Amino acid sequence: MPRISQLGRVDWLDALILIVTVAASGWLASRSEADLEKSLGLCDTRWLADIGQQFANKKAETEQSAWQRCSKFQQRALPPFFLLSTGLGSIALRRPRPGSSRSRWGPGRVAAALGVLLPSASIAEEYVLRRFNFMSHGDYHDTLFGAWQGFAPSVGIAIAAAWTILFLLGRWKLTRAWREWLGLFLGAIWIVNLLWVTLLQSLGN
Amino acid sequence: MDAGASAVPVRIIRKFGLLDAMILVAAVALWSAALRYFGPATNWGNWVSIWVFSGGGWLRVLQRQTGLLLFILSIAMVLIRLRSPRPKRLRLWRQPGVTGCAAAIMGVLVYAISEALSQLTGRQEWDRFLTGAFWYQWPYAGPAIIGAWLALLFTRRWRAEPGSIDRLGRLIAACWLIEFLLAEMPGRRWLSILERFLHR
Repeated sequence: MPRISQLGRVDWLDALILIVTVAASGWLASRSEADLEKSLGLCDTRWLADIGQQFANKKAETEQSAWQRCSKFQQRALPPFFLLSTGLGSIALRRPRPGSSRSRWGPGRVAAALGVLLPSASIAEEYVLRRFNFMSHGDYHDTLFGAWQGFAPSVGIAIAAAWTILFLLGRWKLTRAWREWLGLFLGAIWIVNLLWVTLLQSLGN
Repeated sequence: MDAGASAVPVRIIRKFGLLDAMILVAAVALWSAALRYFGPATNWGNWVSIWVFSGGGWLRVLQRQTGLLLFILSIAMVLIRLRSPRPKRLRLWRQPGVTGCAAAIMGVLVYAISEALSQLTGRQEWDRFLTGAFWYQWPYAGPAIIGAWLALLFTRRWRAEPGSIDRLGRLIAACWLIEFLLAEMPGRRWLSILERFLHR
């Protein structure tokens, strides 16, 4: 049985990050796209959402399968998960103890780093593009939630590539620390999402 | 003979040879043939068409055509790197050039499998699968390179070889990253924004 010191401990900063992240994700999950755009001063993409809604209504006329319900859940859960990933990833990246020596970069920590870097870059990009109205340029624009849905597989493929390289380098060594397992859990969710988008969704349709 | 000197492992850096150059030429020839195949189907095939577009429209043509070129060059680069004498397996995957190219191939193949499945379930034509998978978009190549390179950097295993082969691989991977940043972020928005500014 592993000792508590091997697992690492939860300190007040972990708890604070967790509370803030869960609260922010809960707030995001409870808001519609229009609410978010209004409250953050982003450009309006409701017309795009309306087109999507019409399409969804046409689909709703047909019988809703389990695949479609899963698809709806995924669309709804992704935006808060972007925030959750940055928060939980930050916790997983923290050193076990202040002043402790350099931590190992195992698969969990690498996944956590990618789970922080890429989603936060995406959030920043969306904010800049929509806040300063670059959306009036070009084509192929998405709604706010749709853009995150489009970006999510990129995080999954980055983590999959990183894990493959770690495996090929012979660096796939798990520690018993809970932070490592938290990173692994985050990485696994991103990869499940990638599998859903690339394989299962097509088969389900 | 000095015993201490003989114990030091000798690192062989293979130079870029004639056969490597021939592989690259074959890759470019394959790309030209692919352009002839994809071009008529999408009206984007001819390099001459770059000059027809006003403003920044050529950027989009360039992006579509270089994506395919980068994919073929990535395969060629991995083949070149795997020719003997090559580094041992663990040393090989520490080189950012081959790692980046292999990650890009992995990303393209994952997207191709996804396209193939959606084409199969939609019962669409084979031509549309090829165009969808290998012509319009390359959304997973850039993120795969980011993931692979960050894994090397984080674990302090980034060992760039001073020779031309690894340098070529790094150049190809860097081009993939530029392609991703410009064009493959959701909605190709930065490409659109650049086009608009060039059009002014």
